[in-house]
Amino acid sequence: MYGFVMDRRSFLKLGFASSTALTAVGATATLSGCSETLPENGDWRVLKTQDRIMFTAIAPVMLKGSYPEDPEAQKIAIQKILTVIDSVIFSLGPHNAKQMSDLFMLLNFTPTRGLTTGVWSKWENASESEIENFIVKWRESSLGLFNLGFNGINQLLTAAWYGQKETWSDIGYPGPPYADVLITKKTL
Amino acid sequence: MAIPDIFKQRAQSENWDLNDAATLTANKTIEADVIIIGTGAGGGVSAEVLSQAGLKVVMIEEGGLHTSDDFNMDELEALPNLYQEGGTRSTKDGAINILQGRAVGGTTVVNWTSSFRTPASTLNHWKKEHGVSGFSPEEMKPYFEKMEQRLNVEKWAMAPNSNNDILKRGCEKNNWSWSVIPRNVSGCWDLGYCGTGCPTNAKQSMLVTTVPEALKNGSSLYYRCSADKLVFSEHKVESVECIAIGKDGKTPTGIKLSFRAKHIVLSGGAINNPGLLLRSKAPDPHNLIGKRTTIHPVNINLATMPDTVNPFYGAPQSIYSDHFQWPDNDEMGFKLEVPPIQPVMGGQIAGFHGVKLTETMKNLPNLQGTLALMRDGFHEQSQGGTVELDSTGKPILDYPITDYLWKALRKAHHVMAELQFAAGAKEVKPLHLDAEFYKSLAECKTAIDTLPQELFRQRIMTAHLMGGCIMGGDEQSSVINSQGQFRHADNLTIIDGSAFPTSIGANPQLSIYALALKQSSELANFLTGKLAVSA
Repeated sequence: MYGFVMDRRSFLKLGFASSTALTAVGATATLSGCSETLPENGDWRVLKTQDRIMFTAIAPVMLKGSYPEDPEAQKIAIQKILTVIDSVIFSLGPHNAKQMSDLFMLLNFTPTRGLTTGVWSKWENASESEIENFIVKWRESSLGLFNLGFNGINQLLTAAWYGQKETWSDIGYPGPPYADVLITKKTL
Repeated sequence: MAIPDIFKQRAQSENWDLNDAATLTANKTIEADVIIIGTGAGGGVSAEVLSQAGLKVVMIEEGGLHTSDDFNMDELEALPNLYQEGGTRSTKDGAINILQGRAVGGTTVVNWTSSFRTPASTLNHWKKEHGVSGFSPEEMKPYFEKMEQRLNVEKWAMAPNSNNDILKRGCEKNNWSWSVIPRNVSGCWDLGYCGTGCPTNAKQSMLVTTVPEALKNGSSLYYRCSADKLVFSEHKVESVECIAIGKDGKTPTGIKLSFRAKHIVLSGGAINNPGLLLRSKAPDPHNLIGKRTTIHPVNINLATMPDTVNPFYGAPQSIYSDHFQWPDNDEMGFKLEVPPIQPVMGGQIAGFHGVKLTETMKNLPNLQGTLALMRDGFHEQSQGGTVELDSTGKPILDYPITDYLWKALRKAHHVMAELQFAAGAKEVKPLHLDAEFYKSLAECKTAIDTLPQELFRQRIMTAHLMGGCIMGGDEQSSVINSQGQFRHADNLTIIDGSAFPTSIGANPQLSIYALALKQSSELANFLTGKLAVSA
């Protein structure tokens, strides 16, 4: 159903290769000055363009069945998701922030992304099945770091998605009770 | 607006001294009789007691001031405002999610209100194994009674919600003991949103009880004010050096605040207390600071029930079982309770993606969760974790999962599956990346026995942070003595859950309140020159 999934042994080898590659990519990116250190868009506190493109590609697969299929609805959905993810990543403590930043670098640099995820094309060109394969690989990997990576991306997307009140009617959650009396914030 | 924001109203009518450090434009030096770092269960009670004794108290809080008008039963709003690291705090290796509060009122603002006395077995263990004195069940009784009265702790009198009722039913079917949870609420609406800040001010958190009382008594509060370093001289803390945090809750504004006082009370909680002491290079000849941090590791089973549960509504925790808490053998015991499941929490713990995630979430109204709180820190193979500093000077908890703990986690998955199927569950999923929803108890138990016990695959969480600055009778094995006094500075007392030599074996808030009442009452007598009086 999920197409090609590597066996644990070959993936393990790949894991070691890719952690070496990750170290190399960090050094190369820094030396060549191509490391994007600051968000270029003032609306985003942490997320860089590449990170946003990546989540835009992964969200429909991670949230398949619940995520809208209409392109216009998708645009609205991803904007809300990215806003939450940007805020969550901003809140991270320094240790987890470094981990997340390493993860994004790995996923955004073609050689390391290709080696570790099997997604060799750019995120915006990746097919649904490529992304599904990547998610399953990382989830099933015998390398804990990939499981951790899956957990991180999975939890960011599920929180950002199911925190949106637009999703609540589909999951039978009527929302907070006595909202008219108890909710004092201005509607967004 | 229909519910009066009592904090805001009293602040105005009683002219409280509230200071938002984020708005300061110049450095500041503040003097007082007592500086209290942290406004949670330990700091809140200490502030009330010390201010009632006539002492000039200044409270320092790293988090923001959020009151009932800000509490909108919205997970995405609450996480960044009210939780450490926006709810993303974890252990060093990322294997355990840590839910810990960060706001005026500390974790008491977001906890689920379960209020248990420290079990007698735990108190006796502290005496026997850690040389703690003054904490026998008899000696502690008056402090529990006083705090129960102060915070209106009573067994939940309304019917449990379905989520909790299933725990009760499962216990009854299996002939396991269970009981009703005492809660610190007054006029509770039975909403179910304790975790996002109580919108009706029913929860008797520090935010609406002791902190206001201290402010009424003339104490000052500095919030968004992060304690960066204690300056130690020979056997004394000279000052508490703080940095102002901006309105985003994270970025330092560049403004520095220096606090000086006769006495310092450290109540920043496990993780942050050892962090501050380590950052300050506090004297630690036996290398004990940060050690023995216990966390009540939690694992969870999700069940699909035939009838609607609505696990997002109603008092989150009202039934518990200690049937497996104190086993006859030397295995780790655990307490059974339930977690409330609102959409963000539900999505995050499911561990599925794609269509399976969607199908599970569509089933949310029929989901029941059961959790097991592992009683860590009581066995040679359960010594807790270690708080250390990361490269930026922030504290991080390294918590090893030993074979002894793995064994208890597996046993708890079995027990919870037995409970949920006995209560009528159609299917049960232990929270683990390799687990599915299993349709029969036999199938589920077979799966539990084969689930790989691996970090990141097994879901483990904690909401109870204890230890790291433990009290004890022996200078070589404890950071503070049984009165809470730091062993290497005469004017520093540590008052909160970081003092516990083991985990509690129950949700810890009442244990912290009672400890704080005892320690701060003795401290008040000492500082005001009065003779010690009994509670």
